[in-house]
Amino acid sequence: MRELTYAAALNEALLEEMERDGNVVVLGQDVALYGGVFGVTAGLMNKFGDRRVVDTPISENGMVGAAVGMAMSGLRPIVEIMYADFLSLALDSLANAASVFSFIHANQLSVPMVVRTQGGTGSAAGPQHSKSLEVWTAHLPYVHTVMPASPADAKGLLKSAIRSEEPVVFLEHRGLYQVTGPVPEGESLVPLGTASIVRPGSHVTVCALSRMVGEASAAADDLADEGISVEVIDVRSLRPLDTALLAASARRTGRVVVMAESWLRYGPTAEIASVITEAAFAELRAPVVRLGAKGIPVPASPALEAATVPSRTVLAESIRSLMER
Amino acid sequence: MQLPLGTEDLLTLHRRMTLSRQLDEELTRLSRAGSIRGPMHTSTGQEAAGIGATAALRPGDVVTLTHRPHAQYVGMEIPLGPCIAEMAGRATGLSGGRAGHMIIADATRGVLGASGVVGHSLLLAVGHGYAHKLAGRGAVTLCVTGDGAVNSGAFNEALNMAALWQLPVIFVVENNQYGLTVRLDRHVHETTLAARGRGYGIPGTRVDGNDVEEVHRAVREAADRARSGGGPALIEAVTYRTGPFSMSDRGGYRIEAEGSGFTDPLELSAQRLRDRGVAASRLEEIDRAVAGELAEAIEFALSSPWPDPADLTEHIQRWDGVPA
Repeated sequence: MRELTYAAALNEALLEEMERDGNVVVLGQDVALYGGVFGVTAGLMNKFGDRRVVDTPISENGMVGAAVGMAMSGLRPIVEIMYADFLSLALDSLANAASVFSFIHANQLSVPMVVRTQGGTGSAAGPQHSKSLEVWTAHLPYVHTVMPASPADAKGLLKSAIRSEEPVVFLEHRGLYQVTGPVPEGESLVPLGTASIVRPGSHVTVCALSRMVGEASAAADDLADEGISVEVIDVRSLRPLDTALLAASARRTGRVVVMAESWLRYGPTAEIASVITEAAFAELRAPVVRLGAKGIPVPASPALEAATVPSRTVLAESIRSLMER
Repeated sequence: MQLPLGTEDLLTLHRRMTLSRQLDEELTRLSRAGSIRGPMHTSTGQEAAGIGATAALRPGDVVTLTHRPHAQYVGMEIPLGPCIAEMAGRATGLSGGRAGHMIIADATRGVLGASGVVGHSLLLAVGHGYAHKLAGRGAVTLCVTGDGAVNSGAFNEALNMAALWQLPVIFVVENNQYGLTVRLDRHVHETTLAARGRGYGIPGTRVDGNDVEEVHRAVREAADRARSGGGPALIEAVTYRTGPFSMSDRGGYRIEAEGSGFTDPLELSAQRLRDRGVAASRLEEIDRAVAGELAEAIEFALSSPWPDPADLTEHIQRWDGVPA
């Protein structure tokens, strides 16, 4: 299987879906002529023209609101919001239009649209360009929140998102764009709403989101030398959540850590921990452990930024303590 | 409808305005009686704007609407029984009781984007317009918004994008003089809202929003231009909301007699019809027929069953695994 970067895998998904379906349109700031500030939309305008690949004004609510209208009128828009932080400007259209219309009018029309954005730490971009805001969109009924961690999933999930009849928020991670991995040739869809076991293990389950999947796998390598067998689950779709797969793993191992880059308090790790506890309480040897960002804006300095989010080291220590329970 | 309007066309518009007026009167009564719950925004006094504008559309066109959408519902000929049933939260409502009075959709008639949030109609219209432009079939979007919405960010975002991409969208601002309780001259400095078109490079026209023929003419001309690739237009329909902003209106914010400068749109059209030789008895017959149609629709709505909550848990289960 060939190796692609996460960015190239996304680009391939967009290209293939635009070829397959003439109703797919891409819009956002800098996506056409420039090819996207992270290069994800590179080459699309040359191939599909500037009517299907559209540079927009800096109008985040306008772009997402317009996409709702486009979707209701038969197009399949994919909006790129440059930084997840700027979702704040478009939450009105997501929360009050995309989410609501697909619910109330489900019997007569759907809102098939994708909002692609990216976030996360690691590039010293500072407090207004580094947030992990998946909890905002996971809190919206009828809106998918998807967070690919590998190039193969990036491609397979984006293709499923574009084909979904429901609105999808697709949260990429900036720190992963240049990471390479095997990506299947040809049609390989990854269904929305499914998690995957990226590394089987028997002592502890780690449920990780986005870039934290890599940290978890690295910690699992470290701990294997100490005789601790860690099962790493890539949650992949935060909403709907693959509760069954998460709970089954928790029942097998009896110990669970949930790990995300988003703020710890009131965040997605709380929801996942709660769901697992409800489903597997009898088999748990200890309360579910949660790891997330410290409750502060993300500082710009690289020396400070890394200290705000969990890492393989923090995770390994948590697992060692958990093994004593 | 062709221009200029013949007597039969004007009779059709008069009939629709009559239905809109009577519908609002009935909805006011039903809201006060508790038969319809939730917010209720009637369009009394503004009938000409909604009816005149929607009459300029043809099959395949789309309208996006505000939270005060009743005249547009009537103008787009949404079936009256299911429309009132939706407002009353019944299973036979157009959205099965999920939408309420503000956000009814009827995809088959092009009613795609009523919204209770100020500004949404503008953004949705950009999307519809973009889809229509790509499809190249000459369809247009009529975006009805209010004077309160012109100060939202969405207004700027939408007009800029529509102009930039020369989309077939007609923005009609129903200037009813109030953003909720705040009078126009207390929420904008430049009270001629049509003047804003120039800043975006699109034509801005101001019309008497209580004259159904004048509204219709302006929207028709804008639609013809948009269909042939001439791009968007901004039309300010100057009108006056004679009723409350909603049933919770406590009053106390209007200047007495400020509405006296506005003509009642129904009286104006009735006078014109009489001047053209239409017998008063024919107009009375319209009133009676509309009242009968409305009574039947209300009877249908209020005798309809309530929706079954089981339909909702199916949705919840698929998303969140919660047992029914």
